[in-house]
Amino acid sequence: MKSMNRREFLRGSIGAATTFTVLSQGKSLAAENKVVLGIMGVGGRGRVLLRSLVKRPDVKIKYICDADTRCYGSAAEVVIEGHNYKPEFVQDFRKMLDDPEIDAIVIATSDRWHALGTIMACQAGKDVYVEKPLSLSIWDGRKMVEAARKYNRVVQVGTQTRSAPYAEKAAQYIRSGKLGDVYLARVFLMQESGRIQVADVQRVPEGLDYDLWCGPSPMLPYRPGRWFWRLWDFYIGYIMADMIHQVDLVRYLIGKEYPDTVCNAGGVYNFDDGREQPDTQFATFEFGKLTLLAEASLWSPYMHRIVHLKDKTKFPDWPFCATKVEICGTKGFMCFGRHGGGWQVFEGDRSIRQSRAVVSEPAALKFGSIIDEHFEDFISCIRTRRRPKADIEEAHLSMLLCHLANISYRVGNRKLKFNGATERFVNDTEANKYLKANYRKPWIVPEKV
Amino acid sequence: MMLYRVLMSMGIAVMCCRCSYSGPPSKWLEISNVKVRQEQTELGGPKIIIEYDIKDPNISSASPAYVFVRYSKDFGSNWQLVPMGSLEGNGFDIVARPGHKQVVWWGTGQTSFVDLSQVEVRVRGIRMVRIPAGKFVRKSLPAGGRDESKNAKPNSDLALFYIAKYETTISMYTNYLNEIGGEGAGWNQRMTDSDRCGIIRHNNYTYSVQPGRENYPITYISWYDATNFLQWCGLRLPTEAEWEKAVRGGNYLDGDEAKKHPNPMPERRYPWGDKAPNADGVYRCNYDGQDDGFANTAPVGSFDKFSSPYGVCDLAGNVAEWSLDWYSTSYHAGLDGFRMVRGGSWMAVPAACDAITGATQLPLKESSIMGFRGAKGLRRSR
Amino acid sequence: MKSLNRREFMKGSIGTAATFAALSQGKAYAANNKVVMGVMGLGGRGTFLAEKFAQRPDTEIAYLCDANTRRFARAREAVEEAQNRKPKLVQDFRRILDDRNVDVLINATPDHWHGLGTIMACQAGKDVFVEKPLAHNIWEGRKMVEAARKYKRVVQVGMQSRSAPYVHKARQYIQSGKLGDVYLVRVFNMMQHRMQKDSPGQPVPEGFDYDMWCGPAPKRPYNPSRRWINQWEYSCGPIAGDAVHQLDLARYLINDIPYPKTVSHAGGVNSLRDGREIPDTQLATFEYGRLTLLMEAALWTPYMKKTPSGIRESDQFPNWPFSSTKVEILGTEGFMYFGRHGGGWEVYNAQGELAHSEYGRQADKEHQDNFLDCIRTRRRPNADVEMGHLSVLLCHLANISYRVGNQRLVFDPQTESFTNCDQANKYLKRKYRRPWVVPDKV
Repeated sequence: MKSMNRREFLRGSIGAATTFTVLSQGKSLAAENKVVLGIMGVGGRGRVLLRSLVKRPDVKIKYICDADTRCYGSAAEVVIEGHNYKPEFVQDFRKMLDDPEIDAIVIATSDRWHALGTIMACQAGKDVYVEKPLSLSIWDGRKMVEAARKYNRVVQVGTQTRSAPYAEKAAQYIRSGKLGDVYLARVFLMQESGRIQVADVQRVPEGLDYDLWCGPSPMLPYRPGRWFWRLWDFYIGYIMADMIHQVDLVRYLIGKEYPDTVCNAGGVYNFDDGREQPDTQFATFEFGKLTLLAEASLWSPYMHRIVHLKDKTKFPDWPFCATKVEICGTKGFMCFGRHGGGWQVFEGDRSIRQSRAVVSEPAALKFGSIIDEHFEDFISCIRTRRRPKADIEEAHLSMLLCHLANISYRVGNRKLKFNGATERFVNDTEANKYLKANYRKPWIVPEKV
Repeated sequence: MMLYRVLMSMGIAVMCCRCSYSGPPSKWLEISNVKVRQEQTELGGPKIIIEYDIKDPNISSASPAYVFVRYSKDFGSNWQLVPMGSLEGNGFDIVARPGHKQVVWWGTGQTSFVDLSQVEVRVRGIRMVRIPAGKFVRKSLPAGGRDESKNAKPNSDLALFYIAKYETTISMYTNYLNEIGGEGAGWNQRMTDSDRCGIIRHNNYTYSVQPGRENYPITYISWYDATNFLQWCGLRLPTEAEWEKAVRGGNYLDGDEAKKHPNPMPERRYPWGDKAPNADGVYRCNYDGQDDGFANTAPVGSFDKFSSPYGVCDLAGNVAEWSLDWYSTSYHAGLDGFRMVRGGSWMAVPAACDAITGATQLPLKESSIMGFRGAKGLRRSR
Repeated sequence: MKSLNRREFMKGSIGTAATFAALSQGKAYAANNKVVMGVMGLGGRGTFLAEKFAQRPDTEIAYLCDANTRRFARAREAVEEAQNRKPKLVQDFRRILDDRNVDVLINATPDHWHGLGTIMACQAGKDVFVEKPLAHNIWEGRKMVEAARKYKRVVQVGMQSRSAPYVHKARQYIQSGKLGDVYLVRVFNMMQHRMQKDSPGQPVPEGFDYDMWCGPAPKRPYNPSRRWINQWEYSCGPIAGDAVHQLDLARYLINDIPYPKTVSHAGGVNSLRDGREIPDTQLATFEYGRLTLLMEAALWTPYMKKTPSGIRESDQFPNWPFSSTKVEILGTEGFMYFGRHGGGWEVYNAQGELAHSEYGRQADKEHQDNFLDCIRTRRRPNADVEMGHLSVLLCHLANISYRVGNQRLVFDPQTESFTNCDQANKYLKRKYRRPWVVPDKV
């Protein structure tokens, strides 16, 4: 596909009608038929995404956008190195949305901008890649889905392990019934993390549009650093911001949507840094006969994140794997590692005293290649108008579980009943208050997208 | 060590029964005139021909002999079972008629002995009872375990199998100990009291029966001791279902293929019927107390008038019998869990000597009230 | 120790411990001075206990009791082999209680008989060794504690790992702070059970006092299966009956932490849908302030294995990831794997290194030693009745949460009742079938 002329490819591979639809929607007939992108937010994650994107000859990075002008240099350098041209810089993302040549926006801002950025991009007719965690609230997430559907946009979310071939094989394995009936799944995010440091209030540095940077969140006095990670108005908490990957994978593997109930246990046990979000969360979700346990802690130094495994025959040290997914069936037990961890199935029967691995499926990926696979899916969907594997609605449903655990915590670790059809709690005004985030004018997610 | 040579005969010849009872012979069946020779063949390599006589007139298709052959290539130090699959002829495995028998052990690597003069062969026979294929009324609850038939419902339809007519005796077990003897295999600490277990252990790991105890059932054997003995013979323990069918009989005593002889009491509670073991002043089995004539174990076959419809003796009382099955409702899944034991014992209340009462025992238990008997049939032994 | 004088002597001597200890040691190993016991319930566990106590030089089994006479032989054989004296065989345990020569009742009945059997034994002046799970319900457990205290009885619960030296070392290790702050304890009980066979009701077999077997529980039509183990009237359930060991050990390891503030259960009868009442899947969260205890239990996990006896009796550890009955203790500095019944324990640090380990051994013998020691010294045993009550309480909390629709319940330690659910409070106590009623005042 990379060697093909874009228009030829489209004509050759899809029926004419579809082709015209696509072309008419894609306002741009870009130079060299490339997908033209702008990227919003070029912190660490944004630059990782750029490095992957510039490996592709079929995209053009037209804009780099950040509220902080100081971020431009290092991001532009990535594009220059990879693609040998200099992208334009804009501070206000709306300029990219106004540019008809832009096909798609890549959003890698802080979490508070994900929802509104995505919705506005959809309204402007752009396809969107948006980083996880998807939203600050359940309601936000639903509005993002509505926007994507209303404007027929491809909206892919950065839950990239969905694009890894080994994940699909694992899902097939479970669907085939080889694990037996699945009644219990566990997702983990257990690791060590530090205190959130809070620097003194300072003058807003030159080159930073602080108002724009805060966006929908309250505009508190400026401090450098990530002090804002302590606050619900900015962030869903370190646990759920990362747990979303495992939650999304387990949903992918077991094919569940809405739980009947959620009950969180835990709280801020270990850090006295003023954070609002718990550092310890043990959440139980009931999906009919299946129970999902989410076990998370930020004080567990013996648990280790999956590092890139050079030896393709090796797997993470499962018992001490910080980010594993475990699926317990009546026949077998699956350990699944996100981001290249691969998976194994263990079985044992009455006559064997020990359980042993009966299937071992290494991820067999090059380092960083999952995100490449993920963009391959994204770009391909932009051309074919398919829904991506990590479609916005899937990500919303995963994100919803994270929000549910947080809301249970915020109402005193109560057990809450949830109605999937309305995406509201059953007879619980207190919990329902947390369905929607607080927004700061003018950055309000609209009721009607 | 043993100085017997090739032509030794096993069984009744060694027996010296001094007990007063006069029941049927209950140790190895008498096998005599064992002769072994080797013949070269043109294509198939050498073959060994074993000939012997089995004269017991009671051998029949309903109560055949189970004949197995063990051999040593090193003047009797180490012994192995000759696999049934490598034999031909009329005198091995289930043997339904008395007479002169010839067994051909065909040319395989095993039979290509360099020097036949250092080979010893032992032929032994156990009296069995044929239990024809067919349905029976199972009343006990299956305890579960390895027997796959128990996953769904009690297995009340069994294939043809054979079960030993008598419980394994002290003399049979002593004979086994002497053969596998080496380092005390098959022997356990609780057998040390020879008054209790009936076996005297001599220096150099040789064993003899305490005189007079030959025909008593062996006790103080763990489940593993029992299964090892039976593997040595080429047999296995009966499953609970098989054991119960041996007590009660099938719905047709000649099996579901023939269906000519309906079982008059297919739901009987004891081998002889429904009467309690001590009803009407008649003692039908060896249960707790001395009224039945035995304070402890009784020689096997002592109550042969009260055997099962097929003629299997001592299923009720005397010693409780290990079965192949595991008990598995249990908290012990994943462990070496309880095994099922059947048949009451000389220490049990009369009601416990029936067809349905089972007890659980850990497989390493060595008890004065537990013994075993062998079985042979389609179900794999482990 | 058979004479009345001894008992009089013991009563008089409780205040003067030193003298008593010296004298009792002198008496203990005299030939006819054994602690005399009766065993109630001759299943696998009761038979095991009868045999073990019969083998001791300082104890004698005078009675074996089971409502079912067909169970006598196995236990009697074991006892007679061990002690050269034939025990009396009875169907009614009150004959044991009436015999003034008997010092101890060993209660290894099904769960529904633990409470009343123990309380009546205390009232009759017997010390008691009672099997876990201690009590059929929360109220009954408290009454057992009250009876033990009122009649000054030694009541040891069959949670034997409390007497294991390796368990004590683990508790000391945690107390020393080497795991850091402990915020999470996971208790596993993941087994493989099979579907129960349903069999029709049958006439009560000869030699079986079925009315006595039912005791405080309703007298349903006799059924030879063990389905009662999954019926609330008779049992705490197969999970509770086993998981109570790990729950008890978890409590022990973290300083016998008494009551959780809340319980929330998930799970139900998922896999073994054979008409059972008691769930085959129990995932319960207990909140204790800054500590969370998760119980993860299921009966359909064939890849999880109990610790084989070879490992329990030797210097080996279970294969932890697949250990059915492990406890995991997570602190801010270290992670402890802990195995019950001789499984041992290992601690891993932040570098993924093994920071400390101890092999374990089963401690049935030590537990019995402790019991005998307490009978002589009148100290509280390692697994005192109150510990048994507080541990099985967790099982009851999880079960009650399930029975009220997996609600999250808030528990009040003062009243041992729930503050947010009247329906749940109905499950605190059972209905007792007359005459087998546990009295309000023991």
